[in-house]
Amino acid sequence: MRLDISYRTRFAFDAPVRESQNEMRACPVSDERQQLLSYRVTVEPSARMLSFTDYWGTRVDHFGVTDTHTALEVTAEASVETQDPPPVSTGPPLETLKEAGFRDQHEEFLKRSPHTDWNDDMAQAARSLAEANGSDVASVVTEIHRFVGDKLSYEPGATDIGEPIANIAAKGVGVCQDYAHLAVALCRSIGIPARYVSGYLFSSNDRTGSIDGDLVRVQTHAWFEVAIPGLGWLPLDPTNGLPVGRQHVKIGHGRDYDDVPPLRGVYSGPGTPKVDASVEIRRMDPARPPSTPMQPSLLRTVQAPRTRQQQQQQQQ
Amino acid sequence: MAAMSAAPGFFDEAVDEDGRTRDHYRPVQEWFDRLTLEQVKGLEEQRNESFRRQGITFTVYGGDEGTERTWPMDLFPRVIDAEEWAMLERGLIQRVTALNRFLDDIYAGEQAIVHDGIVPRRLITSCTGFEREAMNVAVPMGARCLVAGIDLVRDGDGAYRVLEDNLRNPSGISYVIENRAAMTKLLPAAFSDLAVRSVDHYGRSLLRALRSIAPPACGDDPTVAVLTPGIFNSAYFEHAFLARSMGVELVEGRDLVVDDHVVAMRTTRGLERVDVIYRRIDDAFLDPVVFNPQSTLGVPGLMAAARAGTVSIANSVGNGVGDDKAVYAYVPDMIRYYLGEETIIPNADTYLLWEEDQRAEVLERIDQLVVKPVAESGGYGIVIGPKATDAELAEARQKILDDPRNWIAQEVVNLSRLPAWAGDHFAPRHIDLRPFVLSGEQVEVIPGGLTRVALREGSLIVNSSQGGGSKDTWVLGDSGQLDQAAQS
Amino acid sequence: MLARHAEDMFWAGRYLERAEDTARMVRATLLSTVAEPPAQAIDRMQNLISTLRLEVQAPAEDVETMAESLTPSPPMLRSEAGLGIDVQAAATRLVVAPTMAGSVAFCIGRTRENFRSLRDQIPSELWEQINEFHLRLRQDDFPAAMEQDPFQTLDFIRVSCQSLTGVISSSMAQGEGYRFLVLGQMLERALMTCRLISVRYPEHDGSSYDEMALTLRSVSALEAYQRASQSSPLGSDVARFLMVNDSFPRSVLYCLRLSETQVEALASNGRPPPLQRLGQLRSELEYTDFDTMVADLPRHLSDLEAGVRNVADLVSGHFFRNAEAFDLHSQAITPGVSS
Repeated sequence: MRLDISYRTRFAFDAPVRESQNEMRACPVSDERQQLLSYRVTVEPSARMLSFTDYWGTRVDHFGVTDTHTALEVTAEASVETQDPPPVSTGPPLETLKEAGFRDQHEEFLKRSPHTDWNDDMAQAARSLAEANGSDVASVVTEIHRFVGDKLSYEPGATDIGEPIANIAAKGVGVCQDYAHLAVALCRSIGIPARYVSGYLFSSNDRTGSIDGDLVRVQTHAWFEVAIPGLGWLPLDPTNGLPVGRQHVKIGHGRDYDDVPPLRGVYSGPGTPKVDASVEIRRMDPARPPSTPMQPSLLRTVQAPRTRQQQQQQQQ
Repeated sequence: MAAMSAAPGFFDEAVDEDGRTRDHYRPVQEWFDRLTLEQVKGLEEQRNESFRRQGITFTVYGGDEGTERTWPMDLFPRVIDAEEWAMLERGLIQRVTALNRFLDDIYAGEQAIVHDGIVPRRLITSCTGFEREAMNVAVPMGARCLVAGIDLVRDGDGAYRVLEDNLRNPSGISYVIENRAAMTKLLPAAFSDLAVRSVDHYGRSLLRALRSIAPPACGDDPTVAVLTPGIFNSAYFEHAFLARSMGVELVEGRDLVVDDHVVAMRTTRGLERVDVIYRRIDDAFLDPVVFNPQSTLGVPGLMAAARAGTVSIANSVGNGVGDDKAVYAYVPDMIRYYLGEETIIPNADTYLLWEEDQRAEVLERIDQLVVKPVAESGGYGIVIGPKATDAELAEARQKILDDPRNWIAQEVVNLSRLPAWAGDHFAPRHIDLRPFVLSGEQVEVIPGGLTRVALREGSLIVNSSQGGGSKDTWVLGDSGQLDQAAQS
Repeated sequence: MLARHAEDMFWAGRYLERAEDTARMVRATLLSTVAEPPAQAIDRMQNLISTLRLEVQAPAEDVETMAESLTPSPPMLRSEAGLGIDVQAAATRLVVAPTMAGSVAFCIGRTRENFRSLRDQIPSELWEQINEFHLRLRQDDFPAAMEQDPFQTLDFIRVSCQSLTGVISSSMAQGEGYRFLVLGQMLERALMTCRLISVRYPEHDGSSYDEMALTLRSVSALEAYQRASQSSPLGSDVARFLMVNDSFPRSVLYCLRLSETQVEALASNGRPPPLQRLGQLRSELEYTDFDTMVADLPRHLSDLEAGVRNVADLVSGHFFRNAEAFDLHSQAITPGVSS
């Protein structure tokens, strides 16, 4: 699938600020499942970019705006070609997870991190799932994936990014990064290396992953990956219960959200920002024949019933 | 004034097994023997007054608040003869060279030492001091441990051993220099009798090392600044001391700004570019963009500037992966791997507690061992088995079981002893030594270092934060000749 | 030099000057109340408080910056006079209250704080002296000493301030830091003198010698004035002397000239805004006919005071702009949520 992505973040400050320093992680990674065709970042007021690849392999664009300003707008535009990953039916037995070399390689994806700090209840739940679902890694992971989807209900605004994952699990509500963190924490608690993935989802609805049209306006998305001994990393999207496929565009991964935040930074001054962030994804190789008029499809997208997330957005 | 007798189990620095004063201590011992009680007390008084007047103090934390005390320097100096020092110097240069190579391999290289199976990957990834944000940030000449403080002790046989490496922000050099300045005033006669190697060129050597790591593009006259957390930091005295002795600006984070990935100082004439920053702020507070976002001590955008190569930061960010106490156990392997040499100054015998068999042995013998947290410095969190209560040992056992990677255990080292003033007489007290090693175009050791002394009888804890004092450390020049370094 | 250090120097100068001026005025005021009936003495003390623009019982929490302490306050001493606080107690508060913005102890505390961050830039002698002075003012028995022997205590303060100024001029390299310090002192002194005249001038109506002597003594100008004018003081002569005398170091003109010298030396090139404004103020004072000025003295004084304040703001904007408060916030975008 050929997707054009435009990710725009606008900070409007109620008083002048200055010396803003920011890092953006918004560039689709090139890997065996997707290929980056073009990428461009623009900042207003204009700023010089320092681009580099971080420890996790994610492209970072760093920029600063020293002079006084009251608005800051960052736009990342990417073109990417995606494929479905090869299907994983069965995986190796659970014992293979204990192999010393495997654990040594994945040490950082086996430990707790600030957003994946599981408690005893969570570890117990993960153990029960593992015991009840046979002895191979892939089926246990699939079970955890399903469990997380059942455990949480999708509710934008119900959680904060700093909230402990144990709280979120207890409350039973969250958004995509909560689903991803919960899944990662459960996997790690029973010794399965897992990592958090930041990316884009070509869908008008994170919760269902449905594709209805060729243009969607959404937010960035998050899912997770697990290391299967002998097979590599298996990506799963617990928010909508789907396997990761062509409509998923990966930016990068890390131990948790803190390693791949789409945008983070600091500024100085009395102003507080009103933030408006949006992702626009356009499918460039439409599934419908080209004779299908472009206009109605656009209209349909706009007129589609608003998700709660979009309503939330409207209110801000 | 003082009589020393050899005690079994401890190495006495100044006297041999038969109770005779060792040759290199003879002039010092004779000099102190001639002093009366009143004279010693007079010198003590003079020293306190001088330190107080100059504000040479340190802050002790604990209890309700930090309290400021004048620096406790014991009058009886530590003496190291030329031959012994030559060995130590070689050993320290060897060790720091290997550590620089290791850190550069991890952060800017191929991690060859991991790929070649010398150290396990998880040893690196599990270090709290491993800063992924510093990945691929180059440091000119790989001089990552620009200032290293290597803690040495002497075991029961008098053999030197490395107890720990301090590669992040080792402090104490200002006291080395102030101790010497005080001793020169208090005992001028002693210095005219002996060729004691000078330490007061430190500021120049440090400045030279810092300038040598300046970004190549900044020209012949790089601007250096010392970055301090501010006047409330316990080591502020040292930060100010170092800035003064180098003749460079002492700045706080708020004095610096990053503009287009270039660091500049805010001055009365506008922004002035800074090329090298000797920072005395911990990694976590250095840049709120990538580290602790709440930190107001640091400089937003500093890491990006370092990555862009417009500024050099010393010591390098992420050096905690080099002085983690589990990594310490591998330093002899690093020396072999990078330098093809055998270790000149060996480690203390160390157990890695994440290795099951070693852990089992340690848990069994915990009352005979010293247990240390891997990422702390300053003596915090240490449990000394033979001196600990049953409750303390039980707690230590539990902590090890909870997080074995966070702890190491070592055999108790019977620190060597040297006379120290005990109120009305000189009595043997345990000491260690922290020499300071500078890395720039070459690796250089400042003669001597900070000798710390446990002022309480029988105590093995030398940290000034825990009742320790210090001694001036005299390295004797070759065959009584004045040292060239002193004049250079 | 670092903008932050320059700013600290400037404020150290201002606070030190304010401490000394306050002590002088308190002394002169107390001296003139010695033989007076209580009601008159209270008036006099109220007059001083207006000069200093202080509230004697300012709550500790409100005390933040000097600028705040300069806002005019209601005449509260009178309302509580005879009930709460007597003249001596008010004088003592003006000197010892450590948290009252503008008290001598407060100003010396601030001077020390500013010097503290500059320990590397100032002579150690200066640090030792300010430290000792500060500690003495904070000692438990100091308020009692002020109550029992106010004149000796106030003399001690004056001498201590003068000796600090002496150390500054005799042992400090006269570089940028020194100039910012002197600039702070001079601007503060000009402000204090302006204020003294505007509060005291109406009292000169009867041309009572005592009243004018008090004005002059408040800035230690009595002897200098007598030597300069030989005649017995007239109200307008006193004002003229304190405003435009060109050799008395506490006259407004003198302070402006000395400030101008500092800014000229500090300006790396051209005539920056604070220098332009200073030049303008100084020449107005120099070339306006004084008799015309006297006709509308209150307005002239308040314009002058506003002008000096403006200079201080321009100094800060031009030289310390870069040292603005560091006020850091973090921002981050999380997935799935628009803000």
